Amino acid sequence: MLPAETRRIVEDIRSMRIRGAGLIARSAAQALEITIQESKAKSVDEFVNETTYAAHTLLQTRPTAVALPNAMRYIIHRIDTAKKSATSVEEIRTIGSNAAREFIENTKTAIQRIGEIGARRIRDGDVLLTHCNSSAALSVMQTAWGQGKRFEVFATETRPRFQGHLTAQVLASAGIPVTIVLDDAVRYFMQDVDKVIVGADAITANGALVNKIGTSMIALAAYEARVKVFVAAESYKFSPETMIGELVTIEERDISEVITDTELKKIGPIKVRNPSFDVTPPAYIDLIITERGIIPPVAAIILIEEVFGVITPEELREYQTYTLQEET
Amino acid sequence: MVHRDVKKVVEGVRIRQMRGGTIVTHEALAGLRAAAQETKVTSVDAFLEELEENSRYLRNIRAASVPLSNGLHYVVQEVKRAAERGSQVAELKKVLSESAVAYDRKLEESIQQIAEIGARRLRDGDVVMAHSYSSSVLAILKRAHEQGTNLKVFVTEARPELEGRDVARALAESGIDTTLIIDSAVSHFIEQVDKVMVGAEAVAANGAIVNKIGTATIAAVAQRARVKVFVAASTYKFSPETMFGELITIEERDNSYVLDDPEMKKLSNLHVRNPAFDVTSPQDIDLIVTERGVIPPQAAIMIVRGQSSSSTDAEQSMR
Repeated sequence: MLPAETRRIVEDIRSMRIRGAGLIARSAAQALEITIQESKAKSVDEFVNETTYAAHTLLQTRPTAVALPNAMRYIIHRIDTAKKSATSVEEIRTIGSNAAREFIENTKTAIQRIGEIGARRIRDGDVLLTHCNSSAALSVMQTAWGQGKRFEVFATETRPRFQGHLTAQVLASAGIPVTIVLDDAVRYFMQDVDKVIVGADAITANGALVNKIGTSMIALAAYEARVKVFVAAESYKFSPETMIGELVTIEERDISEVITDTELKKIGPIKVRNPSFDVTPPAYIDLIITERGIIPPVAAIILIEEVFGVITPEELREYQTYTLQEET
Repeated sequence: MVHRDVKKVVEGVRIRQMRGGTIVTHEALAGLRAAAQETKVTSVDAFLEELEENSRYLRNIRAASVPLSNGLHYVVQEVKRAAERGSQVAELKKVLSESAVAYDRKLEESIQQIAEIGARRLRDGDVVMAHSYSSSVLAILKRAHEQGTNLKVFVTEARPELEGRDVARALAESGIDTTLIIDSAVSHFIEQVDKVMVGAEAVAANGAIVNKIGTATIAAVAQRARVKVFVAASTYKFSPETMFGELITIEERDNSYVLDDPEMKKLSNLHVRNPAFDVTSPQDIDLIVTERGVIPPQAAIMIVRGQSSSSTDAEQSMR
């Protein structure tokens, strides 16, 4: 039986009262930490069973967020590693509890740290281009601007939901000169751009980026024009299950985002498809800015192992995999 | 004074920016004819002056459109030649009307020939991706479908004017299996595509094409994925001027097509830019389907040279 507070959090995540990738992950880590603290286990084995059970319960709550399974893995990986040498429940309890707090703390400060690290890569006079609305990418630009660096930004409008407008608004309000362009116009303006900076919805073991639809075309246009591509991503966006061949499933969203029913009826019997994300190959990415530092995309596998441990096919069966969904 | 019929054409095209270059040319020539029939001027000089003025005005509808400027140029030259031969206004009106109709008919015929030739390049079961409105591409797809070739077509919506919806409607009416996607989704679906087909506003001497914004990206994505890129363009779209170093002007259109949010416009640091076309390099094009046959983009120079030596005075004007 899970502690009452843990059960409440499970319920809140499941009913979507808790939203947003970062917050879901932190809440789940907190729920696990409560279980760890309140465990009345008599042996190390019993403790491990209890916490693993709690982690699995939390995993079932929302099969769509990449951050949630990573939160669980982060903590359970450290408990599993410690269980061979741990001599008392107290010892392993401390390790588990520290891991949970560490994860929570890291995710809280990740955006700010990414901003600080990424800002070092921005120079006076740079022209940047960004796509969609990423708090990590915004943090890099805002931090650099706060340090007195002067640059300008192209923001794509980002069909179908125009998140680029939000990005442009945030940047313009901060005093940063920003130009909104069509997603289609990226290649047209690429010659004027020095750096592309985008966020991430997930990063796979081979360093491929799963991000807002259109990202891969932008990265290709940048690659061909010898323009650098930076990805700003918290480490909990990395996807350990891709290490053992699991594919990230890409959600297709409601077509009403692309065309209204009335307009569609006027056109006639056609299909409309609306995938949310696409996959950018690592070859088009210059570096990934994480809160743990900057890595080339090929080092994604190292970061995954370091943070989440090696996941086995047996574990994958337990750790529910997810369909990537856009946060609304 | 620019004639009201001419203004009406310009307005009409502006409201429906989405139409392809062929339709724009057709409408512009019709406007030129209507204006000439109703003109009050009686002297040859005044008539020529008015014709030049109307023609300049119409050309500005779409600076990048070669069939438009070629068509207007052709008509003006024909009328001037007739004037040099001593024709009076009544005769000039006739020449104007006939040459406009002739050019229009040739353009229309070229599309039918392109349809015939292009359809041969499509195989049963092909998946085609189309971007923006092109009379030639539509004609090819319809012809192939009529011939019994089963096709599946992905159509981009083509922001900001969304003329992809017109394309989708035309295809759906013909009974072709059509899927509408956003422009950003091209890369996601390209693996399922066999052939990309686009039209052109202009073909330059080096085989580069000017077409709706986004075309260059689609072509680059297709090349990476080893998907063939076909451009359907009549030889009327080839630009002799580019042989002499002239650059094709790419217009930037009204920002309101992209962003019409008064709140956002209040932000002083916020700008919008809206280029209408981009340039696709010849390396990203597999072949160009013209009414005279299929050519690799590198052979564009042959067509351009043929045109400039036979008809236009582009060379002279450059000298």
